[in-house]
Amino acid sequence: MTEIPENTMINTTEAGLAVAPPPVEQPSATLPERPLMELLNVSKTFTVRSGGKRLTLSAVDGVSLRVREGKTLGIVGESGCGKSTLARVITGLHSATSGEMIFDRAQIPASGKRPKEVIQQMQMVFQDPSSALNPRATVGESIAFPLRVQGMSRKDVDARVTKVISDVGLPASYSGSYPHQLSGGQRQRVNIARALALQPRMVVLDEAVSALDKSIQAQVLNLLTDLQRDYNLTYVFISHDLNVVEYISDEVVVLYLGQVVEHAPAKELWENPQHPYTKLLLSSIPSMDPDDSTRDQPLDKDSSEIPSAINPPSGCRFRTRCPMAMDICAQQAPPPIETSDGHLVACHLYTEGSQAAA
Amino acid sequence: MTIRTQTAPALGSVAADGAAGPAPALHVTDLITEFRTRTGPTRAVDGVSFTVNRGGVLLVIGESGSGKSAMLRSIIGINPPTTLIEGTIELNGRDVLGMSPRERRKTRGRDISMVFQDPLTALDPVYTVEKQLVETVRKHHPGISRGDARARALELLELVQIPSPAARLRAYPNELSGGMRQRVVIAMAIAGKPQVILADEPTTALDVTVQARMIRLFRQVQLDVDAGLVVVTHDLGVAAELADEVAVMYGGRFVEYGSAEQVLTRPAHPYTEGLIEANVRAGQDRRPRAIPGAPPSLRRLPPGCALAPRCSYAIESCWTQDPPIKDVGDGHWSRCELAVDARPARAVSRAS
Repeated sequence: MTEIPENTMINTTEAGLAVAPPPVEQPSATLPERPLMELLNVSKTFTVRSGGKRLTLSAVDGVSLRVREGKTLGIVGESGCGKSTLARVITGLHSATSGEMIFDRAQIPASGKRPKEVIQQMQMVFQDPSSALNPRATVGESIAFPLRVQGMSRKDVDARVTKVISDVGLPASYSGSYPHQLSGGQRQRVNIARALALQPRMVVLDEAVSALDKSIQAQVLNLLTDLQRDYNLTYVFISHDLNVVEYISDEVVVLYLGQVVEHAPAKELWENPQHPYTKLLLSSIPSMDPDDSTRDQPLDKDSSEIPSAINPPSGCRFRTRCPMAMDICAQQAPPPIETSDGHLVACHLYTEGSQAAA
Repeated sequence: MTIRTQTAPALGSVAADGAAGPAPALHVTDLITEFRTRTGPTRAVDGVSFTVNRGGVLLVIGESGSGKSAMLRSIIGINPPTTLIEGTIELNGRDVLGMSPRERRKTRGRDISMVFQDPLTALDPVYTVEKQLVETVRKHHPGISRGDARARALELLELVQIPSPAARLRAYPNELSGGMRQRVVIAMAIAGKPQVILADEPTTALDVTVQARMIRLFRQVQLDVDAGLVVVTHDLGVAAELADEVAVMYGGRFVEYGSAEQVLTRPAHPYTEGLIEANVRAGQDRRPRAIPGAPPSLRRLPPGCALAPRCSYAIESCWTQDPPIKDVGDGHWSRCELAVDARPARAVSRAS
């Protein structure tokens, strides 16, 4: 088996645009940043069996959000908060239990089969670059498969495969390689190439850089930002890594037990977090500065146990871990409130247009 | 391949203190680990030396395939039997490589223990926490009564701050959250009051809110049992939070060593500098500077410096000659001739 040399990388930015970008409707001059996709009150429940009983697990509960064309929406939260379910609902791998989805100003049925044009315009990249590729298919075959499904001619398929392989910074010769001959970073480039092959307008990236080494992660992040610029791509970037989400996103949604607790421009969220859960998340990031080390601080009351999504707490779902919890939090779910321009927070501490005294 | 005889200079403050006092908890000299594979020998660890005293914390930073896990496994002795191990490993002044397998087995848990990345695979899914913990306690205290062993198990769970420990004793691993499972694993690791605890990415599988607590808990538990701690991680933030001393591993060797402050804020090796610049931190506007290429395969390490193909500073000799160790001062050293001040001017970003 031939081994592929590691350090062969083409600079993506110089790869150029041989294929015209996907047809985009004439954007209206007054609304340069119209939302490409919107979710309105989307929920997804699963039925699970436990001890002979049927229980309802509410994985995503009443999520509303919008993604602007050519921008990146980050989604953060702990494991079990519904990030991946939400990604699958958006791409249609799961059908939503209720709610509406609007893509490019057209309503998409929440359940049932999606029109082919919509599927083409929305692609997904998964966390584990190895299991996402068929080990028996060459890189070229893997990328070509979705194009064949869409009924493209062989000649066009070959041209497109060559194009996207160079777009993601891999040498053209990799088309005939098998996944096991590539490194993890190269495999993820192939997955990105496959997602781009259909010339989508939106790509959902579910923990797409989490499994990569730090030095490789930076390469792939830079590739993603270059591709976004070159093709005006819209990203939904899902990750548990707050540093990476803040860096790559224009806006960020914080999910807790399937609900949106805060939605704000990335920089604003970082500098002015409002929800107690967001504050907890941000303060938990290990600092790179040894002077800021918290290792010898005394341990406070443990508030790290996440309640189950099968029987979530009443009212505000975060109240069981919240240091600021009040009586009202157990009785009523807090509605989202806009505390400043574009900054939504769902917490009883805040009232419309003003910050809490706390 | 020849065995490199070069030894590292005296290692840091933790080691220096031990000169007059008791033997260090763990003293590793010129450790070499070579796996026998179908395609020939693979040298995963190539001449690593370090010392950890009781109460000290050494963080080993490296990417996948740098040999860091193989190093830990060689130290506790759980590599496949065909593995070639050279050098010396002294636990409390006793050379473990010369021990019989029976003697060596006795050191595990009592003198040295290990915490793995995935707590679910480290625990047996068909037994309760009580069964597994009590078994561990009885192994370390032969002749202890069942009741006393159970009391000790409960005490251990309290030490790792598991809420309602009596109820958790009856739980099966699948009934616990990831953070709770890792606490149980840590409780088992300290059951025999070892002098050395090894940990392989102990917080990587945990959520960030759980990880922050686990780092502090780990530190506290380690001080409680007065053990030396060696933690392997790829996360620079975790390293900065936990470390006294930091070693950076690349291609099976330590390429930089020093205090956490020295290594993470004034990196002397181009690889450490690259790792810090590639690390994305929230609030940064500039693009992360990626290290080009990928880490080398340990089966086919390039001659000379293993980093040379990826290093922007590389000069001709880097491709052919083994890089010499450069003493940066105060126990801080780097396996690179081109120490910081001698390198072409490129702003070394300060980690902040």
